[in-house]
Amino acid sequence: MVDAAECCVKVMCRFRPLNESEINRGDKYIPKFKGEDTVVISGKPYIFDRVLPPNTTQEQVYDTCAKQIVKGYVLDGYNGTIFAYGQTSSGKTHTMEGQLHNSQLKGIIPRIAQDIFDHIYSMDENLEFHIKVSYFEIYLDKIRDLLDVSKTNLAVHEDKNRVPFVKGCTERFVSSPEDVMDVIDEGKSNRHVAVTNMNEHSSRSHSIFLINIKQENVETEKKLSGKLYLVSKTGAEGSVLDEAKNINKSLSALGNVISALAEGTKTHVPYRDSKMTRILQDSLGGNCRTTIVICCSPSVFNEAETKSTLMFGQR
Amino acid sequence: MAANQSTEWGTVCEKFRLAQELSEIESRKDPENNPFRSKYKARDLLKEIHCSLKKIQIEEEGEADNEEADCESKEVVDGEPENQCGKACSGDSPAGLRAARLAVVQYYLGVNHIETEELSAGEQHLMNCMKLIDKCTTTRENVSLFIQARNQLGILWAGRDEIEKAQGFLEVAESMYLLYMKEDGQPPLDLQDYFVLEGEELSEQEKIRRFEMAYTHTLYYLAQVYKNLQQYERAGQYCHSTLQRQLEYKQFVPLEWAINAATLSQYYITKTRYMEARHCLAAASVIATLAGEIPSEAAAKESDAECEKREELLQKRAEIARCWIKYCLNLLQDAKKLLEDNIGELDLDRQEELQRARRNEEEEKEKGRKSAILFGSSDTFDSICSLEEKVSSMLPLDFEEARGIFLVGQSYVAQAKEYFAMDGHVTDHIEILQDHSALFKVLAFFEQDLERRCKMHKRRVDMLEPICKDLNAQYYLLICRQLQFELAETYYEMMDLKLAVADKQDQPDVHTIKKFNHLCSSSMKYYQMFLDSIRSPEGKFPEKLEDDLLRPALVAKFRVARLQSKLISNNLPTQLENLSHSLESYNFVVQYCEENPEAKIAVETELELSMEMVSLLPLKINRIRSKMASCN
Repeated sequence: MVDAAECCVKVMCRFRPLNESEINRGDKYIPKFKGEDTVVISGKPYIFDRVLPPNTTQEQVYDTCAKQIVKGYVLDGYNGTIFAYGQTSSGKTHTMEGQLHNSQLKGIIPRIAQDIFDHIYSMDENLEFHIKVSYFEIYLDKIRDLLDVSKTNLAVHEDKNRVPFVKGCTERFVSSPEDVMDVIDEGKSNRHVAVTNMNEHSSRSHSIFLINIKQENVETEKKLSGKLYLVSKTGAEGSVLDEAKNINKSLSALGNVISALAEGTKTHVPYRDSKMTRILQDSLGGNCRTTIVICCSPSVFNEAETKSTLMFGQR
Repeated sequence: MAANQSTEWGTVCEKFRLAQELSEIESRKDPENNPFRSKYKARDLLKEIHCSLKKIQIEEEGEADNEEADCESKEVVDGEPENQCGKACSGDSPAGLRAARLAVVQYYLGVNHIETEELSAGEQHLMNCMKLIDKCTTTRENVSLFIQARNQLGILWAGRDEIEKAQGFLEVAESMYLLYMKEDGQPPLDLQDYFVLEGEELSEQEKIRRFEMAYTHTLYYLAQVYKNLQQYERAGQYCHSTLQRQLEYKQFVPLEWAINAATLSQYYITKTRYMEARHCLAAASVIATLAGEIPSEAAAKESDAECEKREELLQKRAEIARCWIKYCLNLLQDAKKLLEDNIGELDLDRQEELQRARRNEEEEKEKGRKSAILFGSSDTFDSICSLEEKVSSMLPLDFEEARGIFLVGQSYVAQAKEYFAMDGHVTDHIEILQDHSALFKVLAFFEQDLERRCKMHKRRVDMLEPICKDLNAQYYLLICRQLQFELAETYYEMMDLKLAVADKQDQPDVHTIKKFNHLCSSSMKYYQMFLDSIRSPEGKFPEKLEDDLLRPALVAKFRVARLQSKLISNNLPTQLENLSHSLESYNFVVQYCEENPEAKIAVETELELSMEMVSLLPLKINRIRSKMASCN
């Protein structure tokens, strides 16, 4: 039985295998794995709740990182969040999405979709479920609806009865895993719409897929509502990496440096990524279960970035 | 120079321009599966330029008839055995210029490799760049390159987690800038000036501007380095300098600058440097207005762009207001800490002492500190000053001074709430209310009259009670608990004040008693609500309290116990009931600490008093019982 105020954050770390161009280039493979929870890079150990080496299958990743969030949690009316965090080409997309229509290579999101429906069909007959999904993207603190590209600057709203949510975002009802996958396909293709510089854009934007599960017991009329956020967050410049030893090249990050100095209980630090923080404050506050999957490249070429990503996970 | 006019030179310049374009502009369009395509092309061009330069160098050295050897040899120049610290040649000589040109190519190759994630190669090229110009004296021909190469090396080493190495490079760059400005100061060649045709160099003004920007970046990188080295005071100082320079050289975006200055003020607050904090805040408020007029609601409805602009301006202004609130609040709270005695009341002796000290304080010292941190050009300076004059930066020592600061804080509360309305921004709105409540609480400290003090606490209750009732406890659990606890404490404070007032009267009248009891019950109600929020869904109080709930929960129990025992009643059975409940609650505290010894440290004082009461109360209870028995 989950205590209402319980909050649990688990951090996992996943290394992808060397890819073709890295192998051709003769890149050195740098991580060493010790046990289930430690990875060593240049002699320095990094400890997580779980470390997943390159030979881990998509299914194993799902079982470790996501499975227990669905059953016994979101389906019991609580909130869950899964973050995939990593630099570009760290394997983040593969982990979260994978090959959407391939049963071996599909990632976390398709498996969750399947799992949710599998569980629902096996639950009490008296329970009626309404599942809706939203898919949006945050770029430079602006929220864009990926299911309706005309909505490019949505606001985050809170009122006394609802925690922060994206106001005006499209909500699609879904009644099968295939429906969920269709929505993802649609959102993904919309990501390119009106984006002139995809490289820069994808390295700095975060995408959030939200699954909202409402259940009602037709006999008792008891209602429960659970939300699952699936967040794909890039480790590019600034806001989250203020613990890392890197220097930010651009003066636009001056604010992050000053914010770090000003943090404290006595002060007010104006938010950098205010929208993202507000939406996800629930995940890091109370009443929720969160898994962070840190995705890393095993190549020596990305060593510095890998180390700073791992440092982030240590916090 | 003949080289400048040859077609070969023209080709070199064109290649350079193309390399820049590929690197900066074309690269953004590179596909995701080949993201460095343009940069690799740029690299090839730079390598070709390097070869051409080498060829030209050999030609020129042949022409120069050995009179000016290239910087490889350590020949004597100008008949002086040692030319400026053993340098082989002068930066402004033809050889020096040749070296600088080669160095520039090395610089851009270095940056190119870094941007394509080939750090070792990048490092190599940057080191080559450095070595080439280090052989020459530093002059306007190479000083900008000197600094920028070191900036890049600083970034590179920091990325490898070698902070001290990064620091080394950046501090050398810093010293060189200061030395150059002191001893020379002429507009230096910018990195773009080396490969242009005659007459196409940047203007002097532009040269200066870019050079100063390079140094601003040096300071900015040093700020980050010092922060990573946990030398926070230096980091703050360098952030401040960066902000100053951004204003001076007009290299800023108004809203962004304003928010940064406001945030820096918060850093100064943590260091109790209120003069600096106030200056930052005043500058933030003034510079924010440079972002333009706030579009009206009507205009916002018409266009998306205007709507966004309005939203952004309102939000940022409100954020700055919140920083001002913290300024006022902390200034008041720090003064309280200085003035209070060991029971939390204003110590009149301390007050007199501090007032005397203030009269003696040197104003000159303050002026010196102030001049070091000044922001602004002539147009903004006056506006900043006049804003500063509206609020003191000195710790208030009496009610009048405290009230002045309180009123400023309150006006910013109103401004902040305009944007952060409850509907839409629950969390922020409540934080602002909590600050407002804290402002009242600390002002009350300065108020000597007990009745007026009580009224201030009443304002807090009026502000927070409706919110507490309205808020959804499932979603806002943490905030609800905070509000419940604060309301309980406020009512408790009011109860104590009423008690003090009543003690002065001989016989408190019925009206006073009723009011007193009401305050007791209200306080108890909220402590109880808080305690109930800790129960499990089935209503069971946890066997073991979590760390962050431990002290608040036990304190709540303790206060409930005390309040129970303070309720006034003429009716014996009621008195009995109250004292029994009180005993129960005191007992809980004692029992819990026995079963969980680690808890003892968290509630030392309360435990001591609880243990006393646990032994005294039964006697009192028995006395009442016997009284009741004898009445029958």
